[in-house]
Amino acid sequence: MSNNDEQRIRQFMQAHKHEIADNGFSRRVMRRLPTQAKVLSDVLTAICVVLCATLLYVFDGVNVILDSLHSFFQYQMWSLVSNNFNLSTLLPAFAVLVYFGIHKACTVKE
Amino acid sequence: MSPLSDIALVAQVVVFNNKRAFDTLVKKYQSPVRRFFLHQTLGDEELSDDLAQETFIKAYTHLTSFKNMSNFGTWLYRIAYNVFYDYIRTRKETTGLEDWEANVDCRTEQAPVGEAIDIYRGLSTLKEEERTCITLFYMEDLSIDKISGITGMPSGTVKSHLSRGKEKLAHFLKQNGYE
Repeated sequence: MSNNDEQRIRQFMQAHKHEIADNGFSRRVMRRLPTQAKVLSDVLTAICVVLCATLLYVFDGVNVILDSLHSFFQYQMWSLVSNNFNLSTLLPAFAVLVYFGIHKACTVKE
Repeated sequence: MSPLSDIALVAQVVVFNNKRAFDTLVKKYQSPVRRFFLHQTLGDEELSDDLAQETFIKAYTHLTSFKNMSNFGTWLYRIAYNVFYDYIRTRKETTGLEDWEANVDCRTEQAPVGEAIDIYRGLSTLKEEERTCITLFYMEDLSIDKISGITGMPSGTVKSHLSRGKEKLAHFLKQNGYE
């Protein structure tokens, strides 16, 4: 086969190459997608949640978080009281007290 | 769009089941995939769209098996190729492909896109494998290695199909006044 033939075929094919407009095709595809993959994704999410909860329990994560929050709020209270005391600073302090109140109530129930 | 963004979109679909990411992939690849089927079916638009839909649905359900060994487009063509040849097999079992090929002239006469008639008539002179290799090579600008990866044929076989297909097409073009 000559180079001319090769060239002619290439030109012929390229001349008939055209982009096809979507015209709702992708919408039809999306409508027909099965939900199986969603189920797999949900299962994966559930596994991750269980794994995280287990790790949190094993490494005593709840206490670590509570201790951190406790220290943070204590520091905030201390800095509010020691720097400049005015009425507006009482609001965060009040929130902290409410938090500890609820926390205490929960522990008393247990 | 770069292959990296394809991978990012695939990851979004696999990990977060992000359908919008898959929609982006469909919009990006719908034209080449539908064009591939249009050439394989010699211009049967309805059938092409059905097969293209099946291709995207299979891609969606098997997306976790996309190992990024090839780019997403090549992987999609491989699915499209399998979908088409599954269809051919079931069709051959019932009616025989000869009937389908015999209908090309009737179909192209009714086709609204007049200048597309010649391409389908030209492609109808080729065997299925030759048509697949020729369209992937000339229309989709894929290398012989990639065609080999898509079709599962050895590179030598792809070259043989290309060579025979070119000869037949060259003959068709000469006969039809493409000088």
